[in-house]
Amino acid sequence: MPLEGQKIRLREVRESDLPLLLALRNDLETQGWSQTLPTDYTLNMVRKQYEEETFSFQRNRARFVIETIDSEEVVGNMTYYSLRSRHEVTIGIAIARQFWSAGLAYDAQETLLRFLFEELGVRVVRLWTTGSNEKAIALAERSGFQVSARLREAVFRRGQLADNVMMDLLREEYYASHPEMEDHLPPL
Amino acid sequence: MVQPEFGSDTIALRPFEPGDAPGLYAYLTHPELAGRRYIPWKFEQTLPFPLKTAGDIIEDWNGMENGFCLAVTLKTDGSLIGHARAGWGWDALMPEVAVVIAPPHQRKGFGRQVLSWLLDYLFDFTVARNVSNGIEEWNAPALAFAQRLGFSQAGVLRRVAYRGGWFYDEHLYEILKPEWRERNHAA
Repeated sequence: MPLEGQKIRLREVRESDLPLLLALRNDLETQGWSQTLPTDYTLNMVRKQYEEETFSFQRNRARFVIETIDSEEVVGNMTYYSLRSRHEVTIGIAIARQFWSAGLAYDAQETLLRFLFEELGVRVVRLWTTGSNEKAIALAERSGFQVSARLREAVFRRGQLADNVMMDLLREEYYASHPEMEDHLPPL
Repeated sequence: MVQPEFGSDTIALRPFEPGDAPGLYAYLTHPELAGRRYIPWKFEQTLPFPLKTAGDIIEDWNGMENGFCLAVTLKTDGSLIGHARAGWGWDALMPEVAVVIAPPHQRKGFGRQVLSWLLDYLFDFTVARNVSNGIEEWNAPALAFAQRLGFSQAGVLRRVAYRGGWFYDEHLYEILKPEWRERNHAA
């Protein structure tokens, strides 16, 4: 069963999604937090990456596509990685430009956070972005993330040095901002 | 040709060899280094581990794609007393460093010397701009050490690990290339 939000669902990647994943990869704005990759990835490369995913019960990362519930249109992807069981995980999100400013990213982020805290039982969720990416910082802050560290002039983007920004969200902060939910995992 | 400086009258840096496993095992399993071994996360940070694991750690370090880990040795007898690591992951502008000196050899200035060599190398022989160093909140000597060397606090990563019944934070310290150069010239 996919993870359902208000407007979107997070589901597994299917072969038919590969053109959109390729488009995200070849857009400097959406290719990921490095934003330093060449924009020459091919459909074959993306397909190979897709086909090389193997079944395992030992997963410390996952990648979902973000699909609208109404129209079943694929609008982006959402990942988590560096999972340390029941402790911490890092997330990432990319929405295709034509779907920006529709509230889909926030919905996807909230949907994944609910899974991470309620099912995976993590105590802290992290993310990385650049200081110049004000949209990403605002999106994270809307879900309760706070800037935990800022490495000055540590990345180069659009011809400028920028800060590397690390943000985190603690478990109790997440539940405090969701009074409709109750945390049944005892504190350590 | 200009070469990086990795040696003094008392200590030197060199690559790890498979034969270093017993020496590495000896100091990494020292109780005082539990939780601050600065070894890859896939290896045990706190519990004792078998000698074979020390060899695996060396193999892992020697296979680093974006970084390196060098052995710190005494000039007198060549014995292994620590390690110095630098890694820059996806962006060579911002390497992270770590220096570990075996407890019996601490408070002799070796850590300061090794970290200075690392910074000189990263700023003079690589494209590094911002060098950072993550330190556990309970490691007061290391926090003071970073500040003495001119690092400033970039932030606090909350709940990085669990120790002694509570989660602890990691203080992230950083220094920029011009700050390090100015400090060196001032010295």
